[in-house]
Amino acid sequence: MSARRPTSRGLARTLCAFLVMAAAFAGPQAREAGVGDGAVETAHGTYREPASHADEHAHHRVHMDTGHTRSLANYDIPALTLVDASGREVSLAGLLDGGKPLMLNFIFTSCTTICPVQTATFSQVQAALGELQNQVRMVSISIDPEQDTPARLSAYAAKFHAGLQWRFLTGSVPDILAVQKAFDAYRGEKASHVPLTFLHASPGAPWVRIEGFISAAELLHEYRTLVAQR
Amino acid sequence: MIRNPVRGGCARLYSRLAAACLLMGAASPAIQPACAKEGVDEVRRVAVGKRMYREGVLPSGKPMLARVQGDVPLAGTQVACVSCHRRSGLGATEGQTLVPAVSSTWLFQPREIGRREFYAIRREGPGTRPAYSDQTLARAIREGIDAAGRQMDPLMPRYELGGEEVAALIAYLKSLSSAPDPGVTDTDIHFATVITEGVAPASRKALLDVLDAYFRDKNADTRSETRRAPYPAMHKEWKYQAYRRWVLHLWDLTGPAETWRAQLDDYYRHQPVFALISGIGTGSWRPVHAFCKEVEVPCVLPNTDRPPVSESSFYSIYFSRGLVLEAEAVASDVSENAPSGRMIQVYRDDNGAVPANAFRAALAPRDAARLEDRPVEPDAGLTAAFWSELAREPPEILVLWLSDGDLAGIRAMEGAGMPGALYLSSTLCRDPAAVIPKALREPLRLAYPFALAEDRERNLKRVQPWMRARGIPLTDVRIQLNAYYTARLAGESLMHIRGNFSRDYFIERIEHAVDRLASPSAYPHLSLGPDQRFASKGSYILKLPDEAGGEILPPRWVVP
Repeated sequence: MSARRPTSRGLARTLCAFLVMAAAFAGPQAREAGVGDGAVETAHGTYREPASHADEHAHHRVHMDTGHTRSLANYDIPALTLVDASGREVSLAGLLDGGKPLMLNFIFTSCTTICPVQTATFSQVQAALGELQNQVRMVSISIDPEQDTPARLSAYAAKFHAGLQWRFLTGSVPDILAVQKAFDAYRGEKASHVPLTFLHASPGAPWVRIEGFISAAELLHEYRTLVAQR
Repeated sequence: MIRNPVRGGCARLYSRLAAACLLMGAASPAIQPACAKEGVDEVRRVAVGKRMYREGVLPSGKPMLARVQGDVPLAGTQVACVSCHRRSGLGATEGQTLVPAVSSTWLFQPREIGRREFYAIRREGPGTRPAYSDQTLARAIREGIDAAGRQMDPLMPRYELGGEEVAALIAYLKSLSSAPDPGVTDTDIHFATVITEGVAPASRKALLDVLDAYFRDKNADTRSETRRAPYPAMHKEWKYQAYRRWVLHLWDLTGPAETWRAQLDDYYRHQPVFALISGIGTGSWRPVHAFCKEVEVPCVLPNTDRPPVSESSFYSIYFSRGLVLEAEAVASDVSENAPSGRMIQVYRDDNGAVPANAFRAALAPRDAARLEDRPVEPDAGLTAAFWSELAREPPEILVLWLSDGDLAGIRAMEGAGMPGALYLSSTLCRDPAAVIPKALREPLRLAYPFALAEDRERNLKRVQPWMRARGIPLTDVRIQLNAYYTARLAGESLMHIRGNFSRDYFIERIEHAVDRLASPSAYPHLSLGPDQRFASKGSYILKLPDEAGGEILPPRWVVP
């Protein structure tokens, strides 16, 4: 058995090499999934890099492509009561339709990769607005509500120097699920979430939905455009 | 594909350097001082780099600074490498965001597409890069330009680091990988399950029946792969090198808890294990928790009501905070009803004192001031006189951190004065319907952190066929559901780490797998995330029906 192995392996090697060469001639569509362009192999799997999105904001980008898509949408806000970082109950519809322009995102405090950047982006927009920050309402809704108690949200808000215009919300598992579904933001378990930012000029106006990462300068530009159109 | 990935750290590097110095010193005493100094410098540099990686702290003690997304400044723990690349350095995924591995076996090897043995290697273009050198790695960390000269993802922070600082970080990255963790050989992977003194033989059998059957199944299912593992087909090496025979060791801890640590050390010395899975403890789990923290062994979902909730450790993951969680849920329910009268809590030994202390701590100060403690002496029984005295001047809130045996005399309160609300722990009192007389059902509230009867039946339907097919009698629903869940979770997570036998990576995969695993446990729902260590976060507050059996709906789910 062992004496035959090298021979059979050598044969297999030649055969495979032949097949691969044939595949290479057949063109890129014949390549094995995960081995072609844009695939990255990591310690725990092979992933395809997300295709770069159509970019209508290239002129805003000074340094790098942050890759996001922008669309307009209308959402039915469910009549729910959530809880803010101070433990107070908050009517979601009341908060979102408060008459001020609004920025909203979904986060969870133990998130390591996406949320800290999204939250820091809000934090930087807040800083850039300076005194004008009182004219906007910012809302971050936790998608890990049982872990993100008001106390944890409060500590998280402090870490990002959130001002009074920026509310962090949690709630019961079914309510948080309903909010995510209302904004088409539910992607199964929380580790599968994607970066989403929503802007809203006033009650009744369509929402600007930004999917992917947006830099603070771009978000600020979006906000100013929205306010100017009011 | 990593062959021998993972972890290292200062202590291990230091011992290696020290050993090298000793060998060289023995050969030539003259070079010993220089080597010792170099070794110490290197150890110091790695320690500095480790602090930067794990905590985002510069050698100066100031936070590390960086920019992401082109213009978003972040500092300190927000840009600590560990946040994204994780403790193992083997990377992660979140949504569509991919965080690549940064352990040395990855960084210092070229990334190529295709398979060398197919003579179809592509070394240029997307997804490829040359191996990093110290210079290109420093450029990547500071400027976000990879080894191929391309801009890296905007999410990768661009760090403001000096030359010495970046050198320290690179020194740590080089140490962040070497060999598989202990407990894994070329053919086997070893696990242990801990059962402490005082666990009933029936509970012990209930647990071991399930674990043994799972291990037997696992090895039977993969026997062909394990046999082929040393001789895989050339294009399947990556797949076959991960297969190992699972071996379960039983670690019985006997005698007083103070001696458990020595017993654990003995067991580990005799046979290092990759992880502890499941297990049962009757009292405090602290000795096992401390052992796992110091030896850096994962301890996955033991059945314990007393995990050390305030002593955080990367390596121990629990179903819930146990009695402390129940106490906080009761406190939350009590506060909700804004009591104004007397409150009394009765408790015996540590299993009662732990929730009693947690209950007091969770009350608002004005409520805590009205709470009277009635500890029961170790050998004293709770006589009819004790209960009658309680009934003579009934408090508004009565909380009994007592077991079924101690509650046997509570019938003496029947017909006398009743408390406004009577709280019990369902962990300490296993059968409240049997011990609480009907007259006391009205004020009774039960802290119940487990799945309700209806859900439990549904969960059992999914596990019982598996048990029945293996001839395992259903004797302890909670322990057997939990043991099955834990074994499946370990299997699922090991499948994801493939051949990267890193304990840190194993824990990181568990953090993700819990939310995905479609298998029931004794709890309503489980969820973890990075650095979360308690999977079930709440407890029901239930009422019992007037007639024995079943719970009254609607129960209230409290997340304190």
